[in-house]
Amino acid sequence: MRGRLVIASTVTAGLVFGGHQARVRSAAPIADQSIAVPPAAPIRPPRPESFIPGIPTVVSTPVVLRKAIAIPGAPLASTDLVWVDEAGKRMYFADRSNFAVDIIDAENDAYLGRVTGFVGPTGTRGGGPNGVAVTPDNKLWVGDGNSLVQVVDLNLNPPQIIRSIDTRGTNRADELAYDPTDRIIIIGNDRESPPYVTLISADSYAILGTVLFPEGTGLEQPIWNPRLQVFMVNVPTARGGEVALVDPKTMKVTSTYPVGSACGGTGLALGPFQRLLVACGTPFIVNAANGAIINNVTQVGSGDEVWYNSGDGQFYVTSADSTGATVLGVIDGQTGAWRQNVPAPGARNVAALAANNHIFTVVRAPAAGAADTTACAQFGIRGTGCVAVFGHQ
Amino acid sequence: MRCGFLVLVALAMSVVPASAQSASSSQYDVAGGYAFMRDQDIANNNPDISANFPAGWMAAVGGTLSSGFGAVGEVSGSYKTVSIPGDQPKLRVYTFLAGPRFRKSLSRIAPFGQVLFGVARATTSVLTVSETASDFAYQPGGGVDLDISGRLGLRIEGDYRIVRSDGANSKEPRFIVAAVFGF
Repeated sequence: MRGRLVIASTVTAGLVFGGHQARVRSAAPIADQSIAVPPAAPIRPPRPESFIPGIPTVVSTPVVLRKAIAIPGAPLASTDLVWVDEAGKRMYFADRSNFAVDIIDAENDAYLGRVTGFVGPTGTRGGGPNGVAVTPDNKLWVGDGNSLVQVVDLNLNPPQIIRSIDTRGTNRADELAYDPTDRIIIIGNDRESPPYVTLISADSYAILGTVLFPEGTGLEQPIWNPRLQVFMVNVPTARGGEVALVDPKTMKVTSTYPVGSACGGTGLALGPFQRLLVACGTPFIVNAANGAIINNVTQVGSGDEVWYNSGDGQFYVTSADSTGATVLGVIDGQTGAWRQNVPAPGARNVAALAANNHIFTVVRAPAAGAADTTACAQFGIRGTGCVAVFGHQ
Repeated sequence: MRCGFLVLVALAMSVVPASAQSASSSQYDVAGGYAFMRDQDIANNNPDISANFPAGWMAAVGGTLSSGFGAVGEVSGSYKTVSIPGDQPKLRVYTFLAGPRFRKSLSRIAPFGQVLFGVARATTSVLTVSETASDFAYQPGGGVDLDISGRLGLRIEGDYRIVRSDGANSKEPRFIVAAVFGF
């Protein structure tokens, strides 16, 4: 089964890659790809917090909005996932409005440049970019429109798309995660019927196989669990949210954890002591080892993408509080208790750099002509959206 | 492990000649008892959980030359359960150390100082999911052996274990109360 799919996908990827160059040039209205983005210098990862493994460093001082980073080009009307690469100390986010992935210096909170050539808000087979993730060999993997997975070589100056992999769906390729043990990327084809995940070799770029979710109404954030050696995928179903465990070797769902009965699953993050934050309307704290629900946070919704910051031991979500205002929710990673909501008008999706505990959210631009009441406006950036930076007091 | 130590003591008593000396003046000694450890990394980095390992043990075997210099080997274990909601994580730290010791026998007491070297191994587990790390450790420390009765004595010891982990030092002070048997 695996061998047959590898052969087929190799041919397909080659054809798509051949045709990709023309499409890139025609689809990218912003010529920012010429901006030089120097390769990130190899930086030693932060020291683990303790000789005893798995003990989180906890910073419990209040989180506040510190800064906004202006993003050039078209206003950020359509954005998607955010990723922080701890090794390179850079933040990447999917900027559909500019057909790009934008790059932020996460150490100094500054815009660096962008990689263009993505499908943009409306592709014939769905828009993109959507999900983003960086692998240790400094490749940026991006779920794009037209069912494509794009691979960007961040070692190039400027970074460029070096591979386009067609996941053979009728719609977009969405969120993704990386298995460093087997060097496999998992990406959700969330708008197929039924939805499925595609497993791709990070070495050969070959499609290794797919896993169907017949009862899924979509597919949301996947993560890699290094201790269990499985991918975990947040799967919305008609019954509610479920977390599916996908074995990358057998390419089968080995277990499913029901989470919430009247909610749609979205984000997923793995914290300390095998604590999962499962976004399903509100944040659920779940034991990744057995699926037991430990807590349901009710002070904040759960948003789309969620993140665990090992630098301060906190989960972060961007969603609405009880008044409907958009906030950055802070949840204790080890106890699962809600800590704080920080006003973050306009914020959508979140990631953090553990080395300095800067928390990044993308703030979308307000509708054309509407007053700008977003977090960006507090720093004089109006009408365009921005990247908001939070930190501890 | 405590049962094992008692067996060891019983065996030692059975083979010791009648002329054996007291615990404080003996040439060879075995010791075992309770160890209380504190992990300074947890204390410094995680104010929400206790850094103390209230459950623990140690077992040591030592030999002393007439000059007071000698050697000692020690194994130990320290345990704690992290009190958080849900299935509680369990932490275990084991050490396997050996090194030089200077022990001076005085009247009914024998103060000693030692520096041990070896391996520290820590495991964190939640249900069946565990994570383990092993690193080089060294442990300066000292204490005193007090005669109680015959060859049996009481050891009070303090030490300061340093584990070299990813280029940095993890520090684990420890306090020990143990039975010591000399022969």
